[in-house]
Amino acid sequence: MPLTRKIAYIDLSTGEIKKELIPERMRKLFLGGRGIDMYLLYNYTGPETDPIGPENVLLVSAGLLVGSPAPGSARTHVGGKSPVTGIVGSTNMGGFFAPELTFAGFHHLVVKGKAAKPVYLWIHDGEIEIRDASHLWGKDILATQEQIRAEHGDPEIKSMCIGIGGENLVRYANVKTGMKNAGGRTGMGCIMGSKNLKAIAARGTMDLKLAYPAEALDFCLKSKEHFMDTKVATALGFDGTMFIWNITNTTGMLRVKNGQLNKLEEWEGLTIEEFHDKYRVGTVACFNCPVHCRHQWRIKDGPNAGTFWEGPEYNTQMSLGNNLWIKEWEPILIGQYLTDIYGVDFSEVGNLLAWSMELYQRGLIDKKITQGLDLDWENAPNILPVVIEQIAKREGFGELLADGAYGYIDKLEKLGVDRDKAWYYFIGCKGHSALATDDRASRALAFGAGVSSRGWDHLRSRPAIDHYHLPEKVMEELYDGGPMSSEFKSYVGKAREIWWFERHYAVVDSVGTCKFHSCFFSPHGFKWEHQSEWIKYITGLDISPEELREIGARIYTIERMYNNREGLSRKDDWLSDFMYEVPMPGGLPYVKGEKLDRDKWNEMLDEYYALYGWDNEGVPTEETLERLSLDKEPSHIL
Amino acid sequence: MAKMLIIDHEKCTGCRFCETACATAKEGVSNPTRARVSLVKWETEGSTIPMVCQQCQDAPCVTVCPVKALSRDEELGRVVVDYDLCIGCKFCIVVCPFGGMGFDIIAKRVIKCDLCDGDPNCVKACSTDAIQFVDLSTVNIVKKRKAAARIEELIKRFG
Amino acid sequence: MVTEKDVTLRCLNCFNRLKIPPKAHELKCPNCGVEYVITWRGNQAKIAGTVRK
Repeated sequence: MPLTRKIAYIDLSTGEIKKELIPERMRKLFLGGRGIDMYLLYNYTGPETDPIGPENVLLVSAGLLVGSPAPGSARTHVGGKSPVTGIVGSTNMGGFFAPELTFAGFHHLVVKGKAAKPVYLWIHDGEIEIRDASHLWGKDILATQEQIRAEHGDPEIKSMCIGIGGENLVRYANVKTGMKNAGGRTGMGCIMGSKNLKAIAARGTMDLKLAYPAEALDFCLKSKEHFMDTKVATALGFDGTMFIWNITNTTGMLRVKNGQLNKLEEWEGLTIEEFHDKYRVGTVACFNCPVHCRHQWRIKDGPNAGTFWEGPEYNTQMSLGNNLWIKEWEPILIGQYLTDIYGVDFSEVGNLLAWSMELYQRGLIDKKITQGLDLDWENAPNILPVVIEQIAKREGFGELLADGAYGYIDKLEKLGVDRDKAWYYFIGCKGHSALATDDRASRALAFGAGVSSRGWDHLRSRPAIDHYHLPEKVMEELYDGGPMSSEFKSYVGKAREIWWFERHYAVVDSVGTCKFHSCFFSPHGFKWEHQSEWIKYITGLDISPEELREIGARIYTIERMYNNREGLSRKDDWLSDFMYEVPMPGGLPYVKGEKLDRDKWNEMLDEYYALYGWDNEGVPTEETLERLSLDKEPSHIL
Repeated sequence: MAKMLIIDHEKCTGCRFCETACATAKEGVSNPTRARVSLVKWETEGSTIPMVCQQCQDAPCVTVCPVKALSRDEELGRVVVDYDLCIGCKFCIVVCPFGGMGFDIIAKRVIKCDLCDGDPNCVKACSTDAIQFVDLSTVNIVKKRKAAARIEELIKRFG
Repeated sequence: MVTEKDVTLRCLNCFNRLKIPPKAHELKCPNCGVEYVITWRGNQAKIAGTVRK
């Protein structure tokens, strides 16, 4: 029964472990997964918490529906105070770890303190042990997982672990499971490293009872059919997320050379067809997912011949490809493999490197600062693997980059670089690197990045469907109101879209299903109605589609409250000045010359805050807090 | 006409929906360890092989059962367990060449695939047709055509 | 079997629907004049880029 899955509090300083049931009230207010994690984050950490100190918490969870027959009910959520940004840290990972944790009896882990020497958690059928991991420390993410399986003699153990990036406290170190699945953003791997926690290993054979098993199975099989009928299911299943790239490149919505250009004129080396012909060897899926969007690739000849791995994603293709002026697949694949094996976020690596390369191009940094590395754009394919390794090991130039944007600019200033001039070329928000798309013409997508609770990102709200030019009536129905505009260049209705999507994704992340089955890519994706029925059949709880919208608002509002408490406000809900000042240099006539309008941005902020019931600075009002049951602070329901 | 579950491992994406559907349908719980179909993965080589009872015509498990709890149902083309007779000696598990007979540690009894009485849930769950329920009389037609097509291509090319 | 869906694409510039003639490698949008490079995967047409001038 999902409702009898436990929460465990593990203090690595004292070795104390407490296991408790999760009150039903928490499920009705926050569902699970990200929802409950953000509530815990709000109550366990605050402005005085050092993100890499023992007082920070590592929150690991499986969403409410994980392990059930609901399609794609695979997702792990990891939260904590972010070592990159100092605000909400939150990341989501596919694969098979969360289901295994669920079958082992747990939905939530709260890890506090710091172990005296490297340890890993061994979780199996209701029991949790803290075990010595000194023999795992220094191993890459694959070797770590395989070693754990071998020493327990069980190939079905699923582990979430860090690589040497996390061990070396690279601020944006990620958490990994399997080969490619990663909780990439906001540096949750760094928190693990700071606690000397190398891995969390889970193995479970416990029943997950369902409230209405026959109805659950029937409805979940029908749900599967519903989604597989959409066009996007086929596109994702065959091309993965890279089905988008040729469209966005043709339009001119990709960052190239850190945003100096917005498309690649020579795109032939980076087509999905080229990837299929030369490298792709198969496709795999996450737990219970019918779409199977994860590629497998193998390099057949040349110096890297024999390398076999999973991936890449559209994000990889951009971050380690077009943005770095890399126009062929192999360096991207090797770059992705290295960021995976060392356990560092390739979004940060790609963006910080692109920033550095522009600084180098403009003479703001030189070979003395890069410690001999030639950061010329033409040299990018050679530089990328070197820099990834340096970052993970905190060596050479990599040491400068290892602390994220805020750390980097501080170090550059100490080395005599003009801070303001250099900071201008960082494309990001709240210290978090931007996605390597060019969203100057995409008002909704840009706005979502500016108000995202974890800094610039593409998963708090990114409404890819805004580019589909859907009819206004369809949009008004989907977004519970209007007016809306079919044009992605218009500012009309975009604040409403982001408000809708933020609550939508908050619920998706809290029930533990995959965003790719949601309205991310299709207006026909699973949303409130499907979720309400899954919850009813699987857990027995009655939560209406309306209530789910409110739960989404509650989760997002507590994230807002967390960031407000850290000192953020309206002034921080803006992107890099570049986005409002420099017009797009190329692309189709529809986008060429576009940039963001500050007045319109302010209007969107007003609209967005009002929709949430927050004041003009983005602070939730008293009535809103009362409506959402967030008015008693600190609210310790758990 | 009896049918068989035929597995094409090249189509399997390793999602395990078949396991979830099986356990939910047979036991009312989502617990892959109680599923009658089971995926075997070699993650770093990139292969997944779903394994299930092969419903042998001359089943070792039927031969070895001391109380005749196992028998062949010719109509549905399956081997079935009569739990009223089964004493749980687990010798059927010992002799099965495929690991098709398993032990359910929660229900404390042997478990095997019974083809869901002719409407297998794993087939409904699979989105890639990696597991199909096909007529025994035509079970090898697809593979035969695939192999024949290679010969046909050679003939076309070299005359 | 080639369906209507397989050979109809939206212009990425003016969002008008474009009918792609079979085996076409280039197509100019009759509405806004943008020239696209077309590729085919089986019977399905896709926009790969714009024609380089």
